[in-house]
Amino acid sequence: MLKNKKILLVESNSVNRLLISSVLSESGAYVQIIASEEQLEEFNLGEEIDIAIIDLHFEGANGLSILKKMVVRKGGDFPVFGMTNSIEEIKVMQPNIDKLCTLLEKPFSIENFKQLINKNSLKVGLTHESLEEELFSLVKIEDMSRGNESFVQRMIGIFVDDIPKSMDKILLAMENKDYSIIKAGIHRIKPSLKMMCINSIESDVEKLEYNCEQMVSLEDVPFLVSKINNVLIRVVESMKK
Amino acid sequence: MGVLRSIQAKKNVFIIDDSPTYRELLNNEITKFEGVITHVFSSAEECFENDLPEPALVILDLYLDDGSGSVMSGHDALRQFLSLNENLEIVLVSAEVNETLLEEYKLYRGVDFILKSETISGEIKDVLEKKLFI
Repeated sequence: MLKNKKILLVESNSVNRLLISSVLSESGAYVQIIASEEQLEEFNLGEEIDIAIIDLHFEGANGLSILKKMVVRKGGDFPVFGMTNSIEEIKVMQPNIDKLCTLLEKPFSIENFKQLINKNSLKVGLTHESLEEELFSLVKIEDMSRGNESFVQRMIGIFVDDIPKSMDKILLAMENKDYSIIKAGIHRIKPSLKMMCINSIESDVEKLEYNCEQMVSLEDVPFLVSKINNVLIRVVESMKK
Repeated sequence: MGVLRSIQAKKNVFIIDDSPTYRELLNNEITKFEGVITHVFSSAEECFENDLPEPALVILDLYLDDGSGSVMSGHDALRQFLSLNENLEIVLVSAEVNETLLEEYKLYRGVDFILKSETISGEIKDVLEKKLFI
């Protein structure tokens, strides 16, 4: 399974590096090693690789930040493994880490590694724009529901139905440069976005409303509308699932 | 006679909000109260067009404007309700409640504000108990 695969190994510890690269090479993989910050800076993240294995405790640099750059550059489906001495500890420090990569606890066996590749256990549920935040959360709605699941489902249904229609009106108003309609539209949906904890675009929504109300920085309006629309499309798709 | 008294005892609450999310939220909270019948509208025009019993309380979105200039604003709807009954209990709902707004509306006796937020359930409960004595 690993035969002829190009594997990027980011590991600063020489013993670990030797062990892991030997095991991977024996399985027929080509291993590209990054052992230091210098080598990391020289390495082009755009280079063709099949799998990345990153020590989350990489010396001198933040292994987590390397991981995030990899995910952003390569996309959510790219197999990235994060090595750590303790999965339990790293999950406490970084609660969402298992959404970015598949965690590997050192020492790990080649069989375990192959099983994880087989399972395709990579889970990436975060947007590229904001790797620290989820797209939305139902925590406020669930809190208000007081255990009434049908209320939660109704609220999701209303959101999924209303938001695309509202955004269509805003997009049309943008084409017509009708800023009062954009302002009214975004003001209207703003509380619903807050209710669903769609935090990644909160400042963009405020900015759009302000710019259209005050008729300032109107050149930013298309970008803001587009960004908000793209996130809301993903939110609605995610809710439908 | 007992049934008629029971029907007359029910209080009509109008909910006027252009956000379907908040219409559902408010209606969900208010219908938990016994003795209350809700009438839900997406615009002030829709409310005034209908021949309805007199409300005991109106919950009105302050910002009903769609930007086109052709829709009755929450402020104009408020004035129209008060012209029909100056003692009508009205609650204004808004995404932003600040000192300027409170100052602007303090002349309207009996008008309360609640904020569109996750605390709206608690706020609407308090307001209903205060305004409708239920």
